Amino acid sequence: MNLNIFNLSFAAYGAALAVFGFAYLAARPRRQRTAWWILAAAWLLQTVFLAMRWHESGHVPLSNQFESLAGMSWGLAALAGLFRRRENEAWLGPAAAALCLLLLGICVLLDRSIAPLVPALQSNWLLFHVAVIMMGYAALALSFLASVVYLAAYGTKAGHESAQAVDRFNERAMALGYLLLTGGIVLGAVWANEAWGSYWSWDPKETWSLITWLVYTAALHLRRTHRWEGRRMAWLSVAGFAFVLFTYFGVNYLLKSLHSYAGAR
Amino acid sequence: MAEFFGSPMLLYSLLPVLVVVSVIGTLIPQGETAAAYAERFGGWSRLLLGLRLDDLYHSSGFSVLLALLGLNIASCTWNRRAACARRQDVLLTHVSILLILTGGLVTAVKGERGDLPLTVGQTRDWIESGTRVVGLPFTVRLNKFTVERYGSAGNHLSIACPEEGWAETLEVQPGQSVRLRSADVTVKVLGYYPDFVITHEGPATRSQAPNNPALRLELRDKQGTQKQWVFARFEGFHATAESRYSFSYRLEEPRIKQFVSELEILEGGVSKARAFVSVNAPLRWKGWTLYQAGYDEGNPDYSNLLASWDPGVPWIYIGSFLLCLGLAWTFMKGAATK
Repeated sequence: MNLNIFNLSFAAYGAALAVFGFAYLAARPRRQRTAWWILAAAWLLQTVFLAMRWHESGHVPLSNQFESLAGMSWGLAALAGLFRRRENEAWLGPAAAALCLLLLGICVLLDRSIAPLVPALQSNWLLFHVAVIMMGYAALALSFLASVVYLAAYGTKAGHESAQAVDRFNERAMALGYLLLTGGIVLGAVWANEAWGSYWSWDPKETWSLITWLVYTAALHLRRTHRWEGRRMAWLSVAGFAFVLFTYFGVNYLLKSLHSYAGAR
Repeated sequence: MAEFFGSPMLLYSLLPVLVVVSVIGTLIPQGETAAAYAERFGGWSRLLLGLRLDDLYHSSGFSVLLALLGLNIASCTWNRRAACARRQDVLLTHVSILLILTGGLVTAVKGERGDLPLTVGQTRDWIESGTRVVGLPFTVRLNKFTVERYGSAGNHLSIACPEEGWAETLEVQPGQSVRLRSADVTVKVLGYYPDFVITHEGPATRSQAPNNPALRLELRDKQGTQKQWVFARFEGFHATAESRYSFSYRLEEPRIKQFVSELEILEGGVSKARAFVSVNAPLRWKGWTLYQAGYDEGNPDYSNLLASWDPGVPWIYIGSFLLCLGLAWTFMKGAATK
């Protein structure tokens, strides 16, 4: 039952993407509303899936890579919906649907089994730390999407009004992601002190989180103090997201870490 | 001088250096022995050890980088104090990072941390911190240690028939009879011997610890019934001379749920406190914190604790809270003006 809901959610994201595509190709902008409703339905189905998994496992569904990645795509869709209320960007819906679809597709390759929690994860901090980090990654993913759209569509039209709108969206999503990433790192440090007796051990996962934070610190400073905009900011965002991906995936599979809860097949 | 240390260019020079150095520290395993580095890096290990790349994050070079970062933030904030007075959110963010760096310094200089291994009934009033011994202002006694597990052990049995070209893996329990899906064969587990040994009376188990797990099986197929021994630690070692089937047996210990130490704190021989310590549930006493760190599979009475005294923690917590507050303030200001 649980897996059927996951599959339905996956299909709904795909349907949303298809309707967004149809709306664009057939020049039927009104169909965008339909696509957003389908995206919302996909998000609701995903919410039900995560709630059922929480109930079935007895713990918050953020204990391995499958669960955290599913959580990240849920956060991405939620933030896209929230950002849409403020700025009606035509690219936001299809880009978010496409990335959610990709993330859930990756989930299919991961170990979906529900395992009891190891002692280190038996804490309420699991919810706070991992949820805030994954929401941070989701916001930074939106920043990345805005950058890709900017580079693809407005590379040489920096002065164009819609280009500036995408650029501002990039900054806001990055700022939100940076705030959540900071909060997630802080919560992780507090939890580490409670569980392992050290708030910072230079563990590879911790270190790469800090590296990613430093990259975005540089990006936001350059934006605010030296008015880096447009293409330069877009490329910084793309580079920053590469660090996010390595922190999330690369450390799990390539480096030894206390955070090795990946559980890939 | 103040302009140099407070310049944005110093920040933009420091950040990439910090990133690159930090990346190097994750690619080179930290804290291993010289022999391990020699095996992995050959002749390069001398250079690696000479440059303290084996303990990069505690090296003086890295400390200098962090000190420069702190100096840069402090100088920049002072040089732009007028602007910071108008942007208290920015001031708060920068001051909070300085508090965090200060906390890290306090931890490095004043903090104590070390192992406190105990067996049941043992007391100790000191910890091992690297090569140093650090005294505790109290005595710790381990009264009891328990390892809790989820469920029971899983006996995973693989049976294959090369003649007929099938293989199947199943989980079995003592006394259970299972019909295979792949063929008309029924497997019955006649007995489970966790610590198998041959005695004068025949097969027996020395203890309940899974030191030499073995299963006594009965297989029933069209050709009749055969009995079979399978051993988890000795694959292919079977008591019957011929068999159409090949076997593989793996005992999967149930997952650890929690390991719990019942500790007693003594001062002057008088019991002052008792507590259960487990992962995520440490014990705090007189500024020290005792954590459940590990256990020994082969010794059920052994508990490895970790003791920590860290005056840097309050600086870190306050700095971190203020950092989040400052960034949230900046974010809300940005959201309000656009």
